[in-house]
Amino acid sequence: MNGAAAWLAFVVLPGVGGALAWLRWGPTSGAIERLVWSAGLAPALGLGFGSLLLVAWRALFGSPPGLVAGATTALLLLGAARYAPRSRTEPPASLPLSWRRIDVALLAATATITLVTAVRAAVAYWSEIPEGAYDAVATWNLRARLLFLAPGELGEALSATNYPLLLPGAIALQWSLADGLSAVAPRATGLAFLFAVPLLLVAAARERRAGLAAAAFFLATPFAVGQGASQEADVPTACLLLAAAGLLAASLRDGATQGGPSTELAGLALGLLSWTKNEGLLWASLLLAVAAVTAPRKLQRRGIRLLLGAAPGAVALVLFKALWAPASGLSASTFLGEGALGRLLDLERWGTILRALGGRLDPTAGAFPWGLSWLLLLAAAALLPWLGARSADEGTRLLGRLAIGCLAILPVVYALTPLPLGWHLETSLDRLLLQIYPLTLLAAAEAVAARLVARQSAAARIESGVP
Amino acid sequence: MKEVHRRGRPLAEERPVGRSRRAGQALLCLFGALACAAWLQGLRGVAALPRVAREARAMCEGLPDYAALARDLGVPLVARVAVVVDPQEERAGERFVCARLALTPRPVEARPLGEDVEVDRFPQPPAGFRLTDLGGAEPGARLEPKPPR
Repeated sequence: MNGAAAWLAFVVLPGVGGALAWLRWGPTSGAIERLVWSAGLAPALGLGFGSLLLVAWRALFGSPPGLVAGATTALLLLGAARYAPRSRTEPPASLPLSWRRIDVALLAATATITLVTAVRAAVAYWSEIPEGAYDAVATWNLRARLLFLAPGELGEALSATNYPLLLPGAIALQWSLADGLSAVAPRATGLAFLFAVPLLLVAAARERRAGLAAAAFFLATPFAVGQGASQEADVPTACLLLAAAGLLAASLRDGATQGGPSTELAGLALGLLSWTKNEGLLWASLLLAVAAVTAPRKLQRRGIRLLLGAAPGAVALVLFKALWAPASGLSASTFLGEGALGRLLDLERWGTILRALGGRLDPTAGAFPWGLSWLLLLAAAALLPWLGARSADEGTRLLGRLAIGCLAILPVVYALTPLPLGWHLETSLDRLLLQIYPLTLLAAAEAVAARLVARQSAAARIESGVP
Repeated sequence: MKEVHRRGRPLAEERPVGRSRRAGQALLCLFGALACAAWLQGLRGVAALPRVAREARAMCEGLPDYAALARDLGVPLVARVAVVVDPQEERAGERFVCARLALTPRPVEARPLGEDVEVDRFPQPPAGFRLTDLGGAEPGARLEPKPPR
């Protein structure tokens, strides 16, 4: 098939997603802020929403997919144009942390070197491993082919595993637009989500340079770059979790009574998160629970917008699980079913889990190169009490509590797993850590920056003698 | 009147600048050093990824072209296909996964060699099955087209 058509098909969906975010934020926001948010959200919104429409259209009508592609694009554009004029809320102002010029120059150099190195690695994966890693072939790309090629009834084609369909749907939609299979779609989709993560880290951080540092750390994590370039679903899950949490934090910070556009977009990301992988539903539920504890009144006022945004992804997930997904496989009931209490209280299992988690702090242990990343995040958490005054900002508290909640729930999930524990840890722990890694980076960057700002302003007040 | 914390301690910003502040700055420096080390070590790992990619074998590289085999056999798009796989054989999992990918949208199942199919000796096929010798292909490439359900 025509390579140009494949590229055009790839560009159009994130382009529409980015336009949707750009228009929703309205003309009152800062242009650079809008641009970074829109570029970061582009793959998640464009490919995610397109995937929902493709699957819905295939399920309802089973008609030639080309029509679906056209309808998807038109609906997204019409939706963006229809709702764009309503947004009037400015995103929250960035933190006034003062930096020396040399620090800024060093950070810019760091970010550039990291980006160039990560792009070089991504290009190598693109050309050397075109089909992606095992799971990409066995699950995501295979199901994309089924969505695109399988005639008529989808039930049998999609009943092999109970994983949701964001990635397969997004890839199949690109094939539909280009009217043929091409290797561009899965590879470009994987890389789009990979490079959206650093953009979201910069956009979501109130102190931009702290966000830039978090982005540089993300792209300097070999496991993250390798997985993202391998066409697997863990980086897209991480991207959507980061988008949902970052947008909800921005929503809690903005001054609008019922939340601005970030609330609806947070909802949309939340729904799409559960449409990406089964773990997404766990992270989405946890995010809502933490938000309810952190800012109950604000969440109550923003609830309808948030739920409306989440509805498309949530409805698609419910229908998929009810109509197509096989009853077998891992689900909440298998985790909480027979013998759950015994597994939960088994100290030997907890020892195994904690040893496995501790291994991720050791830069020399294991086959997966996390390096010093988790040790650094642990050090950031330990440093916080030494930095002085706490930030009263609800958004920062939400991110911190969510990161801690995600890390705390992981051992519980493994304690409850009905699968052989050693095998389950070996095959999935690193990927689950990857799903929450960007969120944890953002939470750490935000917490450290907020305290440094409080410290700097306190020192300035003391030096100037202002009470 | 000086504002104090409810437990009686002065607020953080009101505490005297001294030992604790210097300790905080020292900790910040240590954290900065750890951050630099983490970034450099990670960057080294990312810089090595192109070599890792070059050394990794592409998933379906070196395996038969299952799509071409199916075309040669005339296996219809709606036929269920069984791919015979020897679980002991190297890359048995990859054979099955790559066959599934190449043969989509046909539903594909794996038939382990030795259970009820001996590819090399071709026993009497079970009713409703048609075993096909692909001539010269590896055991993993032998397809077993079945009539559509």
